[in-house]
Amino acid sequence: MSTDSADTRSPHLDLGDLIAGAAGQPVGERAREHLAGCEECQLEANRWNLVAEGVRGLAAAAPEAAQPAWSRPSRQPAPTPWRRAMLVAASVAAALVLLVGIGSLTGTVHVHFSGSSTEPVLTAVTGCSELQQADGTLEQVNGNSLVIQTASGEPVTVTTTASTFVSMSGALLSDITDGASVVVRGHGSDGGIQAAIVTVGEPFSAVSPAGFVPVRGTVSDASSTGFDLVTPTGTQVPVTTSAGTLVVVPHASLAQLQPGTAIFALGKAGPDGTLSARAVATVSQLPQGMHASLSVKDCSSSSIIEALGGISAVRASGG
Amino acid sequence: MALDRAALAEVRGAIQELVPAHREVLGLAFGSRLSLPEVADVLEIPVGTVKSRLAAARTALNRTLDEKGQNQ
Repeated sequence: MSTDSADTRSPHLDLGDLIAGAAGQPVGERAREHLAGCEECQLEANRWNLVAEGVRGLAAAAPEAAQPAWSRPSRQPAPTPWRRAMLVAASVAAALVLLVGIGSLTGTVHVHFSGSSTEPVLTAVTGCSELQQADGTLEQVNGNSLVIQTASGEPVTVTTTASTFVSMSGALLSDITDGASVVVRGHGSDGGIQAAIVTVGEPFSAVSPAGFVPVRGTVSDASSTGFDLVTPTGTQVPVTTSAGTLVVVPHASLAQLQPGTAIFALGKAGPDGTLSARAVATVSQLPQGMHASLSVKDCSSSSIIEALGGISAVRASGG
Repeated sequence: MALDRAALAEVRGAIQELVPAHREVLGLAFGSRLSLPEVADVLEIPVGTVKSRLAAARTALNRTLDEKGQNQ
């Protein structure tokens, strides 16, 4: 029962009233009066109360580290914009509780690691017979081609075109610059966000690491320890970064790739042993010498991008 | 309705089986106790979508509880 529209709608409580009541928020006098005399609405309220209790019980049972840094019942609302900043931070933490505490998303990207040094130069990609994978350490970038030093010791030349998907991830804090459009995933911390993952630029559409609610915005006042995230509604949320923050650049250029980092390339093998890449990703957060076998759903570009997105966020999603 | 007969522990179990989008919106509304406009702001979706997700989450919850009840 919204007080401004009670005359034109159902006389019963509307969903907003029921949710507010179950969440312990104030509801209007007319709604309270109606509830007192309406069995149907009392039943509905009881159902929502039970759902709310269930959610809060699960949140309370989640690990302490995943608890919201700010809890509405124990503090008075702060004036904007700080209240908004805390809301966003708390929301991230709360969703973390629900997603990490309850379960994780089921992905379609499979990454299998091994430490073998006897891997072949090019390996098959499960899910698409026409794809081959080359991985190892990026040795050099020569214009539109790359040289990968594979675990077997054999170098592989990888050619790219304008349509090759190029991404990179790792401790790339210097790529978070003022004005950049970013998506931050992290934990609520002192009215801000302790960033676990920062995606710079247009994110992988199909990949969303479990356990975080993404908060989008623009970077302001970037420094080596963090930045202010300006959300689309104008709220400034302080974001703290650290050496452990994973930075993902889904749409990078070859010139941005750093030799010496782990690299994965997926594409078609040519008769001369080169790989014509459809997608390339450097992932500096992976241990040197580890081999990862990528699987894809099918041969489509979206599946390939999804696989690269999976390997880019592998540390954050727990491998 | 199964929710009318369910114990709290059963509801918790059923919430764990919800799809992430439903768990997320329930968590924001009841875990963080955000208002519907605030949930909409955080998720960057219209308030109407928040309401429909909440309603869908409860429907799914009730269906799960109902199925579990019939299997016992």
